[in-house]
This record gives sequence, C-alpha cells and structure tokens, in this order.
Amino acid sequence: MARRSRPARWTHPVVVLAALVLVGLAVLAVIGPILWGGQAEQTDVLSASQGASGAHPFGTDTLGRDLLARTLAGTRLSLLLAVTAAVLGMALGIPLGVVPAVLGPRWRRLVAGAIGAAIALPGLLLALFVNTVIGIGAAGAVLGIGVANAPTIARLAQTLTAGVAAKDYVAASRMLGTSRLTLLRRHILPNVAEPLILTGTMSVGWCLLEISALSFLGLGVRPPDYDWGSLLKEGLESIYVNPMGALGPGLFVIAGGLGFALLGEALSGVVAGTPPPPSSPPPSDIQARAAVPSVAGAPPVLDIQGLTVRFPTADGGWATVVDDVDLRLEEGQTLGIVGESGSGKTMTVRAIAQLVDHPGHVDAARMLVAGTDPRDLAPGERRALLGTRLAMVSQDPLTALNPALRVGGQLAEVGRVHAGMGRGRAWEAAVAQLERVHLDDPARRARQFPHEYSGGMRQRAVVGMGLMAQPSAILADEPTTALDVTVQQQVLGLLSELNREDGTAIVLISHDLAVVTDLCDRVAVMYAGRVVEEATAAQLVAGPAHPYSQALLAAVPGMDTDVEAELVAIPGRPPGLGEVPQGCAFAPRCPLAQDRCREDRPPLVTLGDGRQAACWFAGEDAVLGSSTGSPRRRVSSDLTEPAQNGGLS
Amino acid sequence: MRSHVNVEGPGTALDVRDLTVVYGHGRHAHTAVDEVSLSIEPGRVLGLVGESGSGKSTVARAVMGLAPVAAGTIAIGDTVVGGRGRSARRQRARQVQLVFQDPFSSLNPRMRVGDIVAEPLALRTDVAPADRREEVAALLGMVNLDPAHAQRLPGQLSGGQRQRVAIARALAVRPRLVIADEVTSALDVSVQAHVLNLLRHIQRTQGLALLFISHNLATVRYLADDIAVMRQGRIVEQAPAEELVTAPSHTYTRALLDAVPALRTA
Repeated sequence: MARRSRPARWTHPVVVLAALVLVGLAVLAVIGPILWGGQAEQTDVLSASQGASGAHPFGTDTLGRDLLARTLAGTRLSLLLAVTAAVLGMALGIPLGVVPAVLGPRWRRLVAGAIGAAIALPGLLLALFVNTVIGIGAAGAVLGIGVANAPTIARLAQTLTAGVAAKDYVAASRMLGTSRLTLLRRHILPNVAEPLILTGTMSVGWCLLEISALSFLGLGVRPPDYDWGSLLKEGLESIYVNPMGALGPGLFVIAGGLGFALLGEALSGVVAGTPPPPSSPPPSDIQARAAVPSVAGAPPVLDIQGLTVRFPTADGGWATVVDDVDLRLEEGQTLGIVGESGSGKTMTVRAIAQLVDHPGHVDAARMLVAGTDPRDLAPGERRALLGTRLAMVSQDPLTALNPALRVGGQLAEVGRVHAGMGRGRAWEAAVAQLERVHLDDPARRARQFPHEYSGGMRQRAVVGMGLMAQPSAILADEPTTALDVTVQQQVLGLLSELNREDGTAIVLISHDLAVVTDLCDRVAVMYAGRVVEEATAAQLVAGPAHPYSQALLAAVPGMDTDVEAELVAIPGRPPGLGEVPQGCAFAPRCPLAQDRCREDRPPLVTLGDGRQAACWFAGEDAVLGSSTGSPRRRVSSDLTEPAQNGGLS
Repeated sequence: MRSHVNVEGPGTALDVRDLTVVYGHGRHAHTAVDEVSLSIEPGRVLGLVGESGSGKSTVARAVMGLAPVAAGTIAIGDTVVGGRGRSARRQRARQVQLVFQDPFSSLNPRMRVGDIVAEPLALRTDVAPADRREEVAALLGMVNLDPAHAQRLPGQLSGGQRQRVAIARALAVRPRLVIADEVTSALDVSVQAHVLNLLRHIQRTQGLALLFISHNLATVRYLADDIAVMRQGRIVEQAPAEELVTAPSHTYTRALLDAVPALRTA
C-alpha cells in the first residue's frame, strides 16, 4: 500500500502552476519598477505607436514608451491596489459579520438586514458611487472596491459565526460570565478564521479584476501613474494597430485573477482534508460463489456472501468498513443487526440496496436479492428489483419524504411507478396503505404535507410508502432512534405486525440490543466491520458466546440492573476507520485475549447449538460460565476478573 | 437505603418553585415549562425523565440563566438567583454547572484540553493563576484521564473521553450542583457505562447534588434517588426512584415504563 505523508492536492499540476504564477508576480512586483521603471517612463517620439517587434514585444504607446516595460513595472501598483482593497474589504466585513453574534438579538437582526440590503446592491455600482464621492483616482478605486466587497465577506462571516455561536462550548463559556470580547477572541474567531482567510486570498483575485475594470473605465488609476487596467484601456484605443498593446496587460490581469482564485480553491481543499480521488479500485481476493439452493424452494429474500465495503483513506490506501459479511434472510424472517457507530451495520444494508456512494467500493462473492444479482442488471431493471423487493426505512423520516409534496401523492407515486397503477387507483392504494400503518383518518392525512405529521407518524408513513410495492423485506436502519420511547414502541409494534400478518421479512438495524431482541428472531452482532456473533434472540439474551456481545449486554443498564453495583464498562474504544488490528478486532478491549487473538483473526464458526461466533474461546464452557446466576452477573465476573480465566489458552 | 456523604451548609442544593418559562410573545407565545416545582437535597440525585419537547432541558437552561423565566423562583443553596446579566451568571456559575449532551459540540475544537478545563478556574479565588496547571491535572485525574491529555485537542479524543473532559470542566468551580443533560445519549453503548460509573462515583465522593436529565428511564433509575416525570411542560409524578419504577401512580409514567424495551429471555 503506497503511503503518502501529504494529500496529493499540493502536487496537483494546476496548484503548482497557480503557485508559480503568483510567486512570479510577487517577484515582479518587487523588482519590476526597479528594473524596468526607467524604461517605462522613457518617451521616444520617433518610435511612438509601434506594433509588436523584437525590440518592443508589446509595442509602444503614443509617447513611444515600451509597453512591456510598462506592464512589468505596473505589476507593483496593480497588486498593491488589489491587496489593499481586499484587506479593506476584510477589515470592514469581518467585524460587521462577527461582532453581532455576541450582541443582543435586536442588534443581530439589524446588522443582518443591513448586510442583506448592501449585498443586493450591485458591487461595481457601489464602487462607482464611493469612487465618485471620494474623488476619482487610485485611492477612490481601492476604497470603492473595498467597500463593495465588504458585504459579501460580512455575510460569509455572519453565517460562519452563527454556526459557531450555536455550539455548546460558547454557551458553556457564557454561563461562566465570560465577557463578550473574550467570547469572540477565545471561542468564535479561532473557529471562523480559516475559511475567512481562504476567502480573503480569493478576494485579492476579484479585487484585481475589479480595480483593473475601474482603471479601464478611466475611474481608477490616472496618468501619470499606470496599472494593468489603465494600460489595457490605452492599448484598446489602438488595438487595430497593435493588438499586443491590449492583450499583454490583459493576460497579466487574467493570470493574477486566476492565480489567486486557484490558490484559494486549493487551500480550502487542503484545509477540508478531502482525500485525493483513488486512482484504482482496491485489490480484491473475493471469489464468486454459487448460490446455495434454498430449503423452502423459493429463493431467499437476501443471500449475501463475502460482502466487503471499502473506502479510500487520506493516505491513498483503502479502509475496510464492512469485512466479509454473510447474510441470509428467508421469506418472513426477522433479522436484527446490532453494533456501535462505525461497526459497519448501516453500510452493510446500504451496500445491499446499492446505495454506497462514490468513492466507496463494494465487493461480494455472492449478492442475490430474491434470487437475482442486482449488479448484473441494467440500471432501470436494478431500480425496479430493489424498489419492489426491498423497502428502506431510515433513521430520519424527513429525508425520505419530500417536504413540498402531499404524503398521499408520494405514496401513490410508488404505486404508479412500480405497480403500474392509474392515478385514481394509486391514490386509493396510498390511503389504504396509510390506514394499514394505523394513521387516524387516512383520507385526510393523505392530503397533508410531511411537516403536518409528528415524528412517529412520518416514520409510519415511510413504512407505508415502502409497502406500496409489496416488498419481500423491509430494511429498517435505526428506525426508532430519533423517536420517543412511547412512539418507538408503536413503530416497532407496527413492524412486528407486518411481519406476523403479511409475512414481510425484516432486517432491523439498531445500537440497542433490547430493541433488536424485542422484535427479531435472529440477531447478528457486528464489531469493526465483521459479524462476531449470530444467534437467536433468545440465545443471545440468555448468554452470548462472544465476549463483545457479553460486554454489550452487561454495559447497558436495564430496568432490573442492580443499582448498587457498578456497570460493567468495556475498556478502550472501538477501532477507528482503517485502524482495525490484524487479529481479532476486539482483542485490545477483551479481558480474555491471548497472544493468539492478537495475531490470528478468529473465523465465524458454527457452535454446537447452531449459533455462530468469531472467537477462539467461544463454545468453551469455562468462558461462558456454567448455568448459575443471571447472564449479567456471570458476564460481569468474567470481565472484571480476567485473572480467573487465565488457564484457558 | 443508600449512604450519602453529608455536606455542610443549610437548606437544599436546588429549590425550584412554580417555574414557568415562556418563549416568544403574544400570539406566538409558547409555554415550555409550566409551574414546575422541584428540589434537590445536598448530595442527592434527582432524575428528570420525559420525552422530547417535555421541557426537561428548558428547566436546566432556566436554572443556568439561559432561558426566559416568566414566573417562579430558583434558589441555589440559600440564595434566590435571578437575572441573566453577566455578574448574575458568574454568581450562579460558582454554584451550579451544566454538562451538555453532545461532547462534540461542547468542547472548543481549537482549545487544548487543559485550557478548556482551566477556563472556569477564573471564577475561583482560591486558585492562583500559577496553580491552575496543577488544579487541571487534579481535575483530569478525577475523571480518570491521564493529565498528559491536557496538551491534546478535543479532536484527538474519543466521545467518552470528551464527555469526561466536559465533566472535569463542570467540576472545576467546585459546584454544589451539577446538571447532566442527556450526557450519555450521544455516546456509544460500550462507552456509556464509563461515564455513568464516573458520574456516580464523583457524585458520591464529592457529595454533589445532581440533576440527571434523560429520556432513558433505565439510566435514570440506575443513578437517581428520586425521579420526576415531565410531560408537556409539567411534572406529572415525582417519587423515590424504586417506588416510581415499581408502583407508578400516574398513567403516563406507566405508559413510559411499558414502552421501555426489555431484553426478552423467553
């Protein structure tokens, strides 16, 4: 795996070119007037208004002055004016945008309104106005452009500051009675500085163009001074005689403007830490495996083997987020997937639904949805297969509903697209479906918009929408995490009822073991991208085989937890993306871990009672303890007194 | 009965009487908290349970001086607090501290852990500026963090470690009362237990009064001596923890209890 210490963005040819151009211009600004200043002022009436030649590559002006020398010598003034105007814009804009955040709401509204109004004015018009008031000339142009740019910067600063000011650390400091100035200096400015500096860099480019434009219009730099804009203006007057007279200074304006814009762009990419796009797909050692015929005759709803999902990392490698996961769901079954954040549970389901976004890379030895591999299908057929066989329910129902459309219409659309229903029939089906998910007065509810629904009603509507195409399975990803516990109960009850009465298979993903074991017959426990245990819900609750499942069960207080005993805490934390160790991923946190666990990854093997576990010690009675005591009690003694299990290896 | 460290000082740690909080004016007025009364004895834990929008976090904000109190009184120790000005907030912050839900939002990503924990020390007259580093190390030790973490930025810590930093910051002023607002709901399941154990250990050894706010009844039951159940801005039931869990008298409490998913051993 190639490791690069820095993101490749720095060495991107465009960035290098932009940097070279800017360095070149900066050097010119310093030495230009020294080297060519004299020549630029030297009049020579005999060679006035000449075209481009070897002696005068850009030609000469009406006084016979060399235009190349004037352009080079004019670099200093052009850049100086642009930088001054940009600094002025920032100096006016940033305080205007930032300071109201620590003032009262009345001031905030007032300043925000003023900034909004100022933004609505065309920038160049504002610059012209200021310029005219101050007096035409270089100073007027700088002031005009600076003032004209200030509202844009102020709006950006205001938006950034509002985001930071809403953070709890600002509230925490305010509660301590911290002064407004300290709040700004300590908590707000450091967190908005970076994007503002980037914008400042780019604004030098705009200012260069705008001041050149003013000079070009004769409202900026006036003779005897000269900058690129005024040279462009003079050059244009004789463009038919000497095209280079106008093109030359024009090229410099373009180079400067582009240079600053590209540099700002590249800097923001580096700051955002965007990883470089991967150059090639990850190496794959996954062999296609043939389907195992289903026991029931009909193909299983899901038959997945060796599912692997990888994402590129910042250093050019690949991080595995789902690692060799097998998953089989027969018709009418309920499967729970439990795991903490980053365990790969969501990505597993997204991979099955073909929803892993670029640059993620999905591999599987076998991927069959209702007997068909969606990867073999044309995009249209794939959408039809996934859209009719599977229904996705996500944590946030608002992302699944269009806020601008009536709920009934959104359900009806599914019927029209996937079941080929007419408009009227689809609406009737939608209302019937809303009734199926127990919404009161479904005919009225169908005509309402998502915002008129409560959270629980929205989630039920999303379930109803998924059911419109009569799917074989509902894939529910944390469907109740954002809901209150009483509403959670209703949604879980609904899923359970759909499974019981209509035979819809269900995959339920949750971080909460209690939620999963409540609804599902079978449960898969995921850790660091792998399934570490798969068992029936009853087996899992009675006594998990994998130390991670045991710890998970013991760590969460239930309504029967002994309030006098300490909770069993798992030391350490789950491995981050790309940090998964070589052996068992849980080994660093496992009280039972031996050398073998740290070196060899235990495979997922089937134990005597039909469950599967990926632990070298799973199935050994000594680990699980005998049948004395409650599972919680037993687990806690295992975890807190690892020394007792020392003789296991 | 549980044993508690006795602390000096008379009266209750927190005494809220008929607290009403109204957001907005006129037609848009919304009563978030409606005549709520609760009190916490020194060294005791009151659990405040309720669903989203029940007003439990608004009670916390009102106690901290961050919410518009329309009526009622809030007494911390034996002083009635009021006013949302700077000096009123300083006065209040010496007595009561809040630990926020989301440790990713409650720590300034640009400040080192040591500076974050040291920020409230400015309110303490008994810690000279020169001794602050030592005090920070002691506070980090109190929440089981290596004092070397003082040099780190929050981005280098896990969620559980961040929440411990937030707790250390809250303890820095030696408050009599700590309000913990959903402190474990943003954490991974395997990390939650650390924070709950730690909170209980500190509460017991320091003799702190704790207002523990959560939507999770099982977590509240584990920590609290007494539990108050809130719904639509009002407290519908308040009782000793075991009594409320085993013999709820209000129908809403019963509904909440029934809704808690339990591990099925069948």
